[in-house]
Amino acid sequence: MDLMEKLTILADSAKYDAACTSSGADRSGRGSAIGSAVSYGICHTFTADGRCVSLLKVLFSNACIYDCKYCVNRVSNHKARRASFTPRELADLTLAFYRRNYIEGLFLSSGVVRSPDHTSELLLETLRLLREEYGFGGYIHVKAIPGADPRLLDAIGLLADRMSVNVELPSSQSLQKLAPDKSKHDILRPMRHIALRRGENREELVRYRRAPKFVPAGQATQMVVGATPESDFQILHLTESLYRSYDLKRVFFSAYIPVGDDRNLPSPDTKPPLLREHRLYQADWLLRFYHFSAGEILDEAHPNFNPVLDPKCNWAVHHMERFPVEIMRAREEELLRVPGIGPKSARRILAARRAGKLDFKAVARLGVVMKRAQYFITCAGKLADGLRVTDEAILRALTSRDAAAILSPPAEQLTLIPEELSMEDVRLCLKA
Amino acid sequence: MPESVDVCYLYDGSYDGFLSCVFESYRRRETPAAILPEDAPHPLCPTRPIPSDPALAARVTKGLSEKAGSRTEATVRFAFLTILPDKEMRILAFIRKAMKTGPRILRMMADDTAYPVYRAVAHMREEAHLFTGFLRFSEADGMLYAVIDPKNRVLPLIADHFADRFPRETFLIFDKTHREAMLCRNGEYALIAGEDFTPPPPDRTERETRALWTRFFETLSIAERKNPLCQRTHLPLRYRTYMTEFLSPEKAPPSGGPAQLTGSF
Ligand code: SF4
Repeated sequence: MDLMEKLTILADSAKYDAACTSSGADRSGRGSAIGSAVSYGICHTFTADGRCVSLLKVLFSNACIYDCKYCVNRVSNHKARRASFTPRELADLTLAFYRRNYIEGLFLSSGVVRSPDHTSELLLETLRLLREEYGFGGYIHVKAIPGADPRLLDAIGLLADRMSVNVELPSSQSLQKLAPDKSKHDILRPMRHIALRRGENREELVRYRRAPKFVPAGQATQMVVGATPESDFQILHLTESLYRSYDLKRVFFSAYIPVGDDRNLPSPDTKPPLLREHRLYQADWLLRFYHFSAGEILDEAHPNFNPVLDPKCNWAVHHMERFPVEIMRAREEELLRVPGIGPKSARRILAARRAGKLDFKAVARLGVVMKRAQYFITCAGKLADGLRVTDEAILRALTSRDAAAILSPPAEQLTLIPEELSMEDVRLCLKA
Repeated sequence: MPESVDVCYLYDGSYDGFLSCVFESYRRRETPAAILPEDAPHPLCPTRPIPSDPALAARVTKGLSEKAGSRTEATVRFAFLTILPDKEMRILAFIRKAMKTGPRILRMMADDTAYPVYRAVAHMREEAHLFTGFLRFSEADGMLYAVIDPKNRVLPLIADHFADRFPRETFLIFDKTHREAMLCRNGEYALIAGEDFTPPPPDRTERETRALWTRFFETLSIAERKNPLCQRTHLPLRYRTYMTEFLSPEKAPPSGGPAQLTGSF
């Protein structure tokens, strides 16, 4: 099989993976033969569906011996065409793409070939070629194979920038039903192991600055949304506790795209729950950058996202007693709760107000989306001139474009948050 | 601002030339009607050619850094590379204000004089950031070549990034809009004003690598989610001229014989 065909099959099998970001590591290229990593991440192109492409994202092999029901590569799917790279082929391809500035690096995962250990050894060999033989300093993200020997995990972790172990599904019952070869234990054990190693590594680095870095860009995970019955509230809670307990950098969500008609799966003509995925990402940003807790965003009584309002606006309209806030005095956390104000514009407000008084025109210049924010702020104690504050006006201003699209057909044509988000995207998309 | 006079300063288009005009305006305690590059359309008002003087330019730079901080000085330097309309006069006004306020100017983000300057610089930084991702190299005889057509003069902003990333390569980035090239060898680079650059024709390895990348790119798109509008928002059409994955093999950039960089190299 030629390289073109392999690449086609192995990129196709990996493309539903959401976690394609290159951010989090900072490394100059001067120490290597080729390649650097920048912490803010760089998009090298965008697919026809509007997602950022930053890494060469492929499976090493899709000849998998497992039988996860939601996956095209499951062993029982006899229609799937199978292919595997050799470590050398993949290392060379990565380098050829990298030199031409097509990519920031490699995102490598794999189906389970023969055994978890055997597969991990192949991944390790690919990384060794890249890092040690070619002196490659670009970004590498490796997905750990559940069930592999922790020593292999350690060796890979010293060569990769980021590792992830996929939670796969939002509860262990669902896991049992749909991924019979993987246990909760198999997944959580490597996650815990990586978290512990990272902790130890931080201490080593304090003692010797030159100690090798273990997974410097941190650990991430991913779960499929919509294949199983968990509510948004359950998913968000799980997300929050994953961040807390496993020192995770990112949790990714992937809307389930029907692949088979196992009786435990939604029917094959189910539409992928894109709006739900979008709302989960928005809520995830609120957890990480806006000081929200999962319990503030959703609760037992409201276990699912509002289809029409994004989670932040939804919170705001249910807490009108906290508004308006005064631009010249509000604390950063208070500013961050205002619809239309993001982390960047909040910081700008703090800086600019030390240099002088801010009126509404000035606030708009700082990047605040006034259409939304105007109902929630005052400047020098006054609301914007001529503003009529009615519930209806507020709701109209806050109703998101994506929801408007979903309420009027064609239902699935959304402007999605791409999986790779720059701060700029967040500004655009959270406020869209 | 001091008294406005009905005179247009003409300068050679260089940064030093512009700073010499700033010096002139301070020395004469006057605000010219305009500051224009010599080759700009001929203005209606009386003109005064201002020779470019590196020593005077250095004095302005030093004065500005001392009074308003090195970040303010850098902002002025970057602003000069942008497409801010009437940029010379706007930057002059900015400098005058910064000399009064000191480093506090950096926090005056909504100020009428400072805001347009900051916005133009932010726009340029954004464009430069996008080019660090969207720029495409081709390889020929072990060397790498890229052509870009940015609105702002982004080369000085992206040069360090690429020099750092490819410390052992020899490569060239040609800015077609401003006819300027970055030449880099083993991590050391120079920016050179040029006339034109013709990329060499792709050899077999180059064509195969392009085809692999294009296939990878096409495979990634999820048909059920196709959304050209969202794609365009993130990757506006104007960036795609030289991007491998958007060139059909027939439309690949025309190329003559070996690589050629003509002009004052
Ligand atoms: S382990 Fe499961 S999810 Fe991974 S490739 Fe194999 S079948 Fe698919």
